[in-house]
Amino acid sequence: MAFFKAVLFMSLGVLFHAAYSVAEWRYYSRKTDQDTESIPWDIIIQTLAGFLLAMIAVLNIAGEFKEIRATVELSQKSWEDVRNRPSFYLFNHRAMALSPDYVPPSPSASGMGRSHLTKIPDKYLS
Amino acid sequence: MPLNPRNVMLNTKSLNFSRTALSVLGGGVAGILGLTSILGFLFYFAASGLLGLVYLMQSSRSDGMFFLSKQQLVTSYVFENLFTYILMWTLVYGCVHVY
Repeated sequence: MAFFKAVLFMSLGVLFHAAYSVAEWRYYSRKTDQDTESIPWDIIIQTLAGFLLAMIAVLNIAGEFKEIRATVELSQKSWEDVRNRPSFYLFNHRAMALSPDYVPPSPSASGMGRSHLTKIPDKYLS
Repeated sequence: MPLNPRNVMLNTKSLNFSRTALSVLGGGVAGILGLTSILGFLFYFAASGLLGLVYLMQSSRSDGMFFLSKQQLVTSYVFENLFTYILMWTLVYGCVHVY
């Protein structure tokens, strides 16, 4: 992605250079009264090459198409993935006393220091 | 057939982005080369057709389904972006060849 963005900017530079070349050539051909002549070949080739390069970069930046049939993506999910509901996780229930790093609340704060049922322990918070 | 609306939107956006970029860049190139009248339009349709061919070849290599019809890869957004093309074409032609 970053590489192709660099390619895109480079090809825009190539196109800008070609445009400047044509403007310069147009200026001198007008001065020497050769107005009917067509643009030099090297500038045409440079312009088309810059265009091709820019389009390759654009196609890569736009990215790959994704599958639109819903069943294809769903078939790759396991049952555990589908029934997983992170919003319904509970950590603060009585089984947390079975955890090896369980710290019992201090007796002085008993009753007052009880945390809420849906509170998430600090070690699960990143 | 159930569709995944998020991916449908992503594909449409990606196609629209590359078509718009083609019009802008193609308009710039047509202006630099100094194409006039029918030649400029022919250049746009040739470039669009080439992009469509590239997309068709890409999608025929994979067995996925990305649009409801493959025709969309070639024909959609071509005429919508024709006006962007004309804008860039006349602008760059004026900058390079007239002034």
